[in-house]
Amino acid sequence: MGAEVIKVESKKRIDYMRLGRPLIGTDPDVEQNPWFHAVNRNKKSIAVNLKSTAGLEILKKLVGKCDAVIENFKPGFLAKIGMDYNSLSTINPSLVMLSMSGVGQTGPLSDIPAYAPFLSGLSGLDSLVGYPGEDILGIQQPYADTNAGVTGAFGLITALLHRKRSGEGQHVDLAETEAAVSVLGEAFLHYSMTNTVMEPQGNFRYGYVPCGHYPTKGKDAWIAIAVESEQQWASLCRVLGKPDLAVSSSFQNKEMRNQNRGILDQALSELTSLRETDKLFHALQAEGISAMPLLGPDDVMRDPHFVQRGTFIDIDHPVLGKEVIFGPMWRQTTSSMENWAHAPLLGQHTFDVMTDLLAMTKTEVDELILSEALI
Amino acid sequence: MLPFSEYKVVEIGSRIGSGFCGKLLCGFGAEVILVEDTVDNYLRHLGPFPDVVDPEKSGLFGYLHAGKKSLHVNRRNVHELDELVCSADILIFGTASVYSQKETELFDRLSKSHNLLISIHISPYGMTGPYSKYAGTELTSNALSGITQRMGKPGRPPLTMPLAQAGFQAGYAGASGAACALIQRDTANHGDIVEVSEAEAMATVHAGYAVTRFQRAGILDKRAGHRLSNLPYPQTVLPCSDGYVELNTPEGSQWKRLLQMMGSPEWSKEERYRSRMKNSRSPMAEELDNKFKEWLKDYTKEDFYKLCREFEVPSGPVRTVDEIVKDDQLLSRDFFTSIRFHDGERYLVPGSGCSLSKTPAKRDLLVPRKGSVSEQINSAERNLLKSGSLAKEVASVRSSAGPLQGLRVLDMGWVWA
Repeated sequence: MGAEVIKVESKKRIDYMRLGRPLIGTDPDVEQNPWFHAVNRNKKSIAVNLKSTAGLEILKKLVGKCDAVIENFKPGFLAKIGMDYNSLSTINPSLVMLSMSGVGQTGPLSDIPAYAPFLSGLSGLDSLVGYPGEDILGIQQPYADTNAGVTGAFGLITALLHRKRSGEGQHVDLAETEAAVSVLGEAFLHYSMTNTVMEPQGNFRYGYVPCGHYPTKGKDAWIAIAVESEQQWASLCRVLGKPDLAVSSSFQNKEMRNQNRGILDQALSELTSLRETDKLFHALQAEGISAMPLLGPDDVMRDPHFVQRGTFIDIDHPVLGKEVIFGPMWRQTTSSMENWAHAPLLGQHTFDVMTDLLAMTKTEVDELILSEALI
Repeated sequence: MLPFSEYKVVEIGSRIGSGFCGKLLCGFGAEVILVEDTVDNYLRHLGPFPDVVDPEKSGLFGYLHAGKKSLHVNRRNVHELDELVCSADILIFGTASVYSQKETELFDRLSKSHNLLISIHISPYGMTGPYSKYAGTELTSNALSGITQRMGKPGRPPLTMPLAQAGFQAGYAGASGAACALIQRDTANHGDIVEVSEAEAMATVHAGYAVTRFQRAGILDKRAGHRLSNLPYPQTVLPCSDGYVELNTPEGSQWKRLLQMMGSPEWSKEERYRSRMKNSRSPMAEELDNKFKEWLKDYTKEDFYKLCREFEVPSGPVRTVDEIVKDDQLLSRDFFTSIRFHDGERYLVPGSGCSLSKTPAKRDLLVPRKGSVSEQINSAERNLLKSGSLAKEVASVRSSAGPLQGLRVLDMGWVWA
């Protein structure tokens, strides 16, 4: 979205996402993790040692030149080194600071160690994933993390808007569990209105029947189909070559189809498994039926819709060469969003940021590198 | 003053994404007018309901629309809509599942109402691309995004995301886009169109990492039931005496502490369990799952969680909603709030996903009855924001700079966040 984002790193404390098995050669290399490259595209990187007094002083000076700070240290740590919001807002009173943690900056459990899978359990996300009537499976995605990133970005931009209008800075406290709970509102209303606990719904969605993922020709090939109206139901049966199914006593209306969901899904699966995914997808869409192939990571990059929209972007990385990164979550018409940069090498911009923003000389920067403040 | 105070928003549509986008702006101060046609908003019929089906007591509608004003407008009366949008700063437009020509024309006209208008368009697949006119639902948006293929058991149908995650993520994208466009509007003096595709929102942020990993590293994450594949064991959900727990130790030191927590069982010293990556694959994973299941039989979720905290192991209970509403941590932070219906009934709902120290989100908001403010909003109140200003194509002010250009952020974050 155009902000200049300076990532603070250190060779003394390598970002966990930089680690992993090398893709080129056999030696460990902090520049070879595509995960890191995807999440950090377009940023700058400076290497600053937080264990060095001089390093901390440099960061404090930088805070004076920035509009916002993002951090996700264990709550309490930044206060110990004089880098918490209260300390930094004395340097920059209009600062907006986003603190991201597992369960928040305050409260009896604020210092617990937390990762996305554990937080998915704590927030209730996991409890809603599974096949109806069977064991809970859990979400098994780092969704709590990515959802926290999205929620945090909204909080940060909203606070920046407020600052633009009022001149006032503030602290945004993002608890990953709270961010996850807030996208489960329906489950909480279900409980508070009916006093019953929502269980995994599988692929069932109220108002749509049939609604699910059905096998198609090929290995592990599936199509999502959601039927809303009687007309769509009749069309689906016709496209699948079984128009009689639409009027059979077990499936003739929404209520009957709901009651007989198990045998309905079975009957449809037998029919869809004879069809090629793409042909069936377009045939159903031509009838106005919500249908979509289930894409895997390999399909997503080649999918004509995403290709035409430029959802994923090819970029040259100095170590890994050509690689794909993901584009923006939303588009703004007044911005062409053409300027994409590869994820920074560790400390790639240290010199530029120190000289341009803090007006240091080359000698001063070199001395700070030698003293391990900038490393 | 809240961040969106004094901004007027007109919301059209009955998608969860557009509703959540409006909810976020409303929670942080915007005046949001929800346009309701003669046909009921679809969400009013979805529930949950406290007892009988009642369009004025829908839980999901209430969650998304509490705090907004409901205005009854016949959508065929284009002049009324024109007048309303002319007075707005932001238009939120959520399209129905079938992207009809009429909808396209309506958005096209309304988005040109005045040159400072910020129009947010939320749809399953976006405004461009070969599928843009295709029918879409939450299920199909998730399917296209690539996130669904990785959930569920091998050999069984993949599972979609719980509830309406594509809609919620699209709502966040729309609301964030609105804030960016407002920041830019102050200096650039023009509005914008923020375009959100539910599928793309899920594909980029939430499934994008799997694409990048596959493209360069050849790692294909496949669904592995209750486990997460391609990461060191354990990342798994297992049953205990009164429910389920999430067992997770990404770092070696945490794995060692987990084993200590179990009393350092003899099996854990065997050479065959040395590689945690091998442990994450069949048949080792099943073997280890069984050992943990046997041990967990004697523990309740909360006993297990207590032990995890003592040993600093980042694992814990899979909580259900009834447990979460009593969670000490959430209660101590006053996280939950309520929504009110016109009959005075209040129901507990999650609070804001992030807490802003000086401008907290509004709480205990009233769910609007259908058309409840129609009488209060008359022509006299609909002051034109920029009377006489000429509508112009926002595309004509396209530049390569992003809306946040000029802002500098120091990112001290680690890993994902």
